[in-house]
Amino acid sequence: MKILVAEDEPILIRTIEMRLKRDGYEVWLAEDGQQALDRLEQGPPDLIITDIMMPYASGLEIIAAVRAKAWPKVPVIILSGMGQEDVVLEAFKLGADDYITKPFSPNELSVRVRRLLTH
Amino acid sequence: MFSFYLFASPVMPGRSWLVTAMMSILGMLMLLVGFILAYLLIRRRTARIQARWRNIHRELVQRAIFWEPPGAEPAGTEPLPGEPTHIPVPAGITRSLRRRLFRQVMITELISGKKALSGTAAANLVLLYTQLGLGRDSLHKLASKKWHLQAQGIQELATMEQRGCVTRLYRLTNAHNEVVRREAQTAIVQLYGFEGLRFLEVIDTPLSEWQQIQLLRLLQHATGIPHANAVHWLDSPNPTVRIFTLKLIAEQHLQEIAPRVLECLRDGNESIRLQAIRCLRELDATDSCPTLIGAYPAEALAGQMAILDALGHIGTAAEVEFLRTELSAPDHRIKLEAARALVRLGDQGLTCLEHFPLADRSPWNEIFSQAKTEWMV
Repeated sequence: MKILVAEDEPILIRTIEMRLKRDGYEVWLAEDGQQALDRLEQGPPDLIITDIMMPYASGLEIIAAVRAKAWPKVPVIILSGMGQEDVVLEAFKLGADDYITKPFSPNELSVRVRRLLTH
Repeated sequence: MFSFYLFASPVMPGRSWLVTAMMSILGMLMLLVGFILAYLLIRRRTARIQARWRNIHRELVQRAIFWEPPGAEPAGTEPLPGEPTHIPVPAGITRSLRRRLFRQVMITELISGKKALSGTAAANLVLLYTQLGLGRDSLHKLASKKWHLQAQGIQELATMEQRGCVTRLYRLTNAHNEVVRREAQTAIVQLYGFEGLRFLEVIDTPLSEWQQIQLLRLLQHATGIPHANAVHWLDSPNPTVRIFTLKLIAEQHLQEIAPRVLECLRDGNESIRLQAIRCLRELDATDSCPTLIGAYPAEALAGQMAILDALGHIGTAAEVEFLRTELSAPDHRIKLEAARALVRLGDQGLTCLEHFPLADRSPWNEIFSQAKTEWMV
């Protein structure tokens, strides 16, 4: 199972990577929005975890790009900061499947990923 | 070309001062360029060293995030003899921690991780911070004469949940510098919730609007506000403390304190009276309507508008008559606010508008239509 993680915070992206690798997933990393969009050109991952606020392209643009492709539905989890309710709603409108608010527990993220991938 | 001519030609007596001045300027320029180059080189070197340190720290931080204490499974098991009871730190890092800058880079990394993570991961980062004795560095900053260092130290201690340093933080809640004061107040509330608001009893400096919003946000999900303290803060000689308390009472829906809030309608400070009116509206204190109407004539326009708005929210049929009289007020803003209140009161209010003798004349017809449209939206 391949998971694309788009996050510009170095500590967070490494933490998510470690957690997901421990769970046995293959992890594609993107440190900004543009890297994530480039990575999507190479084919669909099984799940996407994306931050909302990132340089070059936002999480919303990534969701829109994924939904515009003729792929089977790729689940998307968004990482949002406190007080970003409006953006979270916008993300759901664009087709996000779940969201997690920072600060978050890596274990909780792991459970949410498993749930989305088994459904 | 010009300078070559100056140096090559024999120096004429009248020109010696010019040569000296040129030489001095040239010398100073060379010194300045040398200084800038040296500064840039040192900065570049420091940045490179810090980047290397950051990578070292990030590895340790990652290890800390996923560290599990011995005996974690099954729960409650005692660690076996020889098992580590704290996060293992490589000897190289322990040695380097003697350097102040190295420790600061570590603190920055830990803070960044702590802000983004929660649960066991965050608890482990706090453990590592404590284990490495980095709290001493943050505490040291509190004693600095530079306000930005003090503010940084406060933030570090609050983020890392260092409750043991409450006395030091508490002292800074009334600091001379506004930023330091704000950070200390925020930190105390972040660590202790409502209990942290004890500083309201001592501060003699104003609580800015922004700070009030910040504190209310931090207390949004807190529970167990001591009512007696809230009543006590309403007697504070500091007007901004009284305003903040009224906001807090409204936010926490402390209905029991409504009678004390009513007394604030007699306060000499207009901002406090306005806040008290808003507070009574939020508390849904229907009993306070007659007092609000009694206070109405003495209020300025802003106060009167606030009372009319409050009556629209908490009023009953008993207030319809008063609102009807205000439809004839000379100020159109009052007319509109009274009409809005009547619309909000429901059937009786709407009937009052319909039977108003001048309802079909300007400006009442426009005002009533505006009030009704707003309500429908």
